[in-house]
Amino acid sequence: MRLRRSTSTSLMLNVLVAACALILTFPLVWIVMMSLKQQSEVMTWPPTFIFTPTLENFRVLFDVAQAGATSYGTIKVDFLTPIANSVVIAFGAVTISVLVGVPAGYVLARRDVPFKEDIAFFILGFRFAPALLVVIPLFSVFQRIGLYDTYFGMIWVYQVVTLPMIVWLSRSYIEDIPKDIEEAAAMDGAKPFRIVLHIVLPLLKPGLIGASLLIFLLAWHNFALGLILSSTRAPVTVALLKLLNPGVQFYPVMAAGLVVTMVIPVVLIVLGQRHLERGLTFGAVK
Amino acid sequence: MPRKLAALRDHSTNFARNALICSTLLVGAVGTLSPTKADDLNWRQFEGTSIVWAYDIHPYADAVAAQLPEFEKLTGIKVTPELYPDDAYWNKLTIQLSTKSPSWDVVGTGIQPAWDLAPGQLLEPLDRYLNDPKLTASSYDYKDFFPALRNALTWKVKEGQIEPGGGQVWGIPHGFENIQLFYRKDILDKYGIKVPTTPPEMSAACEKLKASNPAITPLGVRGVRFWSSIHTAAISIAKSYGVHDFILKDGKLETGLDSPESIVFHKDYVDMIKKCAAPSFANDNWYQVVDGISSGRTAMAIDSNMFGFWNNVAGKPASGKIAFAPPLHAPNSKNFESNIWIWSLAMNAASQKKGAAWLFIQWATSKQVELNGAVAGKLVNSPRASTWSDKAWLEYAAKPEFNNFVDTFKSVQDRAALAFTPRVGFAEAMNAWAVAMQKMVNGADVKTTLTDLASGIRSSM
Amino acid sequence: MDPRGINGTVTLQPTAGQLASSKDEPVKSAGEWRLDWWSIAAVVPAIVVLLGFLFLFFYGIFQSLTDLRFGRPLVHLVGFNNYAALIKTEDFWSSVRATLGYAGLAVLVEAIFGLALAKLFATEVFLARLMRPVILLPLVLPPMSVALMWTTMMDPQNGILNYLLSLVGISRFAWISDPTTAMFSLVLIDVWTYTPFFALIIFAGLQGINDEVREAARVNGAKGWATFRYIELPLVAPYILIAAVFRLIESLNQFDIIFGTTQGGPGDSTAVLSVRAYIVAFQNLAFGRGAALMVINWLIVLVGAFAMVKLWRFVRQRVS
Repeated sequence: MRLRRSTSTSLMLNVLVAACALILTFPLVWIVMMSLKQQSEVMTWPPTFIFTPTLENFRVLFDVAQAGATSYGTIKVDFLTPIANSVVIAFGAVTISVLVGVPAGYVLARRDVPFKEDIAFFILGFRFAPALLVVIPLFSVFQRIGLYDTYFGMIWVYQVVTLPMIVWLSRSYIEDIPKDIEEAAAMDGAKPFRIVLHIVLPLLKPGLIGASLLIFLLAWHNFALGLILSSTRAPVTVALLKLLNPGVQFYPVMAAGLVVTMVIPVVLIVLGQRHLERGLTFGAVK
Repeated sequence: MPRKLAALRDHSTNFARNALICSTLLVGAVGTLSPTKADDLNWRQFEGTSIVWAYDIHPYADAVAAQLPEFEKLTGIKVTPELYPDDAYWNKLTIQLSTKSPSWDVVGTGIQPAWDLAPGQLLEPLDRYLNDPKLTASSYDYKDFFPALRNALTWKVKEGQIEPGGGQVWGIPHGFENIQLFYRKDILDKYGIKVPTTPPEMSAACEKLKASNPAITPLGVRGVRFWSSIHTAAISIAKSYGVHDFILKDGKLETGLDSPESIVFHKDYVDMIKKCAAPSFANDNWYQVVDGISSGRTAMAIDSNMFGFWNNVAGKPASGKIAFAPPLHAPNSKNFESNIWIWSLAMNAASQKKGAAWLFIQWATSKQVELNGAVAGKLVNSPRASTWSDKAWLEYAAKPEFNNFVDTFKSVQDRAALAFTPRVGFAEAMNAWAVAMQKMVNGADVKTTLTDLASGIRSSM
Repeated sequence: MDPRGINGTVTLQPTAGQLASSKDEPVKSAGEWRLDWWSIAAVVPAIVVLLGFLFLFFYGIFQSLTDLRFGRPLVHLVGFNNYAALIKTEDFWSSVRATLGYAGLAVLVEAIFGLALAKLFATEVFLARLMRPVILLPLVLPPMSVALMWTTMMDPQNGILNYLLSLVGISRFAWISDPTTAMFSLVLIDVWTYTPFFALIIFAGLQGINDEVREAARVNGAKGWATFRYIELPLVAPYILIAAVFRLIESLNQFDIIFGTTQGGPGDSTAVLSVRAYIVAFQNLAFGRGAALMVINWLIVLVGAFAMVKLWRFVRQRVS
């Protein structure tokens, strides 16, 4: 935006941004603070913003050395495996979705396949049904064909969450790329595959990264599928609830678990945001 | 085949075994962790198998997990625990069992969920194993479990419904709770409040407490939209008013929730909740009740007694401050009532390792293992009478920080029994009751709500 | 302001626009046969990956036509009895209202806030550029895992939100503990978590609008608001609608947020169809009736998504 702004407008905008940032991050900040408190300090009134922080909750979370040594109970709260599971499943799901979905999105945007709009709606339709409807026969089938509690099975099921969105989003972004570039290249004799690879994809990259980031986060969010279809490969959303043990101080430890879970998505967001900003200017290519 | 081999082995090594028994008894007298003092059972008959034990995330599970290596040494059976938080556990249990999946061998269950699972033959009846001398040690002593608990887990299935009073054994009690009123005696002493015994007394005490210190919630009770919030305070107090969830009328089960006694009870109870409970009542689960008592933001609670015990353990913030009393009773009734919840171990009917599963159930609920769990402060309350007369446990539980825990347990246990009527379809009716309770606390008219509730239950029966 | 003049300066995709109108005609070129096979081959994997779940879905529909109860060995086909029984109960209709109310309100508010947020963070002021990663932060917390935290934050007596409100003079708000405010509180959680979803998609769309377009409009005398209303808004409208389609589908199916906090209560005030279906199917163990509720939920989503997609196509045509 090359509009010149008065300093007062700029100031007001800055204030607005700061206010929005505060609202967007406050619950996260509160949870981080909770993870550094002791249980008795958690629900005090008035709530404490100033307190002596303790790392005890994190220590409990990662105490793999001696089950039973912690005040958290005898059962080892194995937290690293679920995080690894979540990472593998979410990344795997996103990768497969991008590999399968972007070509489909391209075709739906550019080419004329029979029943094009019906296919597009059909792909979207897999998001319609609540997962709970199919989860029981899915569990039986997975057990029978040996996909229960496997990364492959989980990544496949997660396609229902991630694939439709990639197809529709990449279709949308591709439709916004002017067709004449491809036409020109085609007239110069380039094969369609090369056109896609060397012309469309680079233009698509920022939008694709944004979309991939979104579906990664949605895959990260999922609870029901992970609960029913896995036991040792359970994602972190299931493991977090396992921190609610009646005999112990659960609020701050659960907050600590959430903080640890937050790290990976936050890192991805910070990395991904940079790509989003750079050159999302389709029009300039003209 | 393994049994034949075992028999052969027994015969041929008789003398050696006697010698072994003597020395084992000697070692046992010093106090080992071995649960098999008189070893007439071959613990190693299923050596080499591995089973999966599914349970709720709970100190009871902690108590067993701490001793798992002993089991492995004893039997050569590998046990993999699979633990889940409350609601997720019931969800997974339902799906695992109803799809007849063999992946879980031993499952933890409560009484009521077992009612729903039994008619479909999803749980394995355990009498066969109890009565088989080759599979159950003579020292196991099934009669040692409190009678109320044994009765609650024994029933017949007739025409798709539960018929209590004899029948098959569907689960072995592992740990149980009776409902009590536990309170912060430091707070009650500070404001000069006597421990209430009836709901009107409680309402009065709450008003006095609130006047003295508005920041403290006088009473913590569960209010979530599930039958679990009925099964603690509500049903125990209701029973003393003469309220029954189901009554037998002309030989058929009828809902008892719209009876005159029920209306009286609900008026008192709802009034008490409005005056005493936290404003977040409708969302309060056990987490909030426990956190409240432990931090002192709640003065009293009517819930499972072991919450009070766990928070009295030395080193906890509320240690030594929580005392116990029987639950509230109706003003015109002499006696209180107390509901029970039993965490029991049951066997998946689709399991392919039933023998090994039974050995695990037997071991985990044996006298020694239960005692060890209790003395570690985790397995409270033990379902075995022998634990409550064992010196080690009594010495531990009589420590000053636990106040009158043992005495109150004994006096409450005399009257504690399952307050619900066994039936398939229990969950639907009782969940509806919890929802109705929420509506009444929020101001809905008691009589109309109860009438609607009753007709809803009737139509689903 | 001359409307025709503005149309004339929409130079974003004139050729694309002309070609877009020919989207409905098959692309005629020499290598047509080859292209078509490639196209089909490109689409097929997506369909295949998802196909298996289709059969399960039909099985679920089949189960809704039975009187299946978990734990009961005998199952009978009862046709539409489950559906008929549902339609007669008042609880069912209150669930439908709750579902539609929740989803409609949430998506509407998120679209507006998302647009505002995207515009705000697209400005070049210092803080906006610095804090862009913040837009997505609410999405890092899985709703089911954070539900307990929200419950503590929304505690009427000791919760941090009420504390903050008390600082500005608002006395105790009941949040999720009262039937009249519970739905609003849940929508608030949904809006907080998912407005970033809209914001990101719209933000990407805003970046695609050529600065020349805005310059041209300004030169022609269009002020900021008019630029926004006649140029930017139509161009990002397709993105808003795509995001709305997905958010609508998910909010009509929303389970985690609601079940994690209120479980459908207090009373029946937040008992949306997905929560009611879960309780009926998995807690009351009447899976036939639960499946019927889920199928009805699916139908509602189908109608909503269909309408939304039609709107998207309409807007897309108009924009190009």
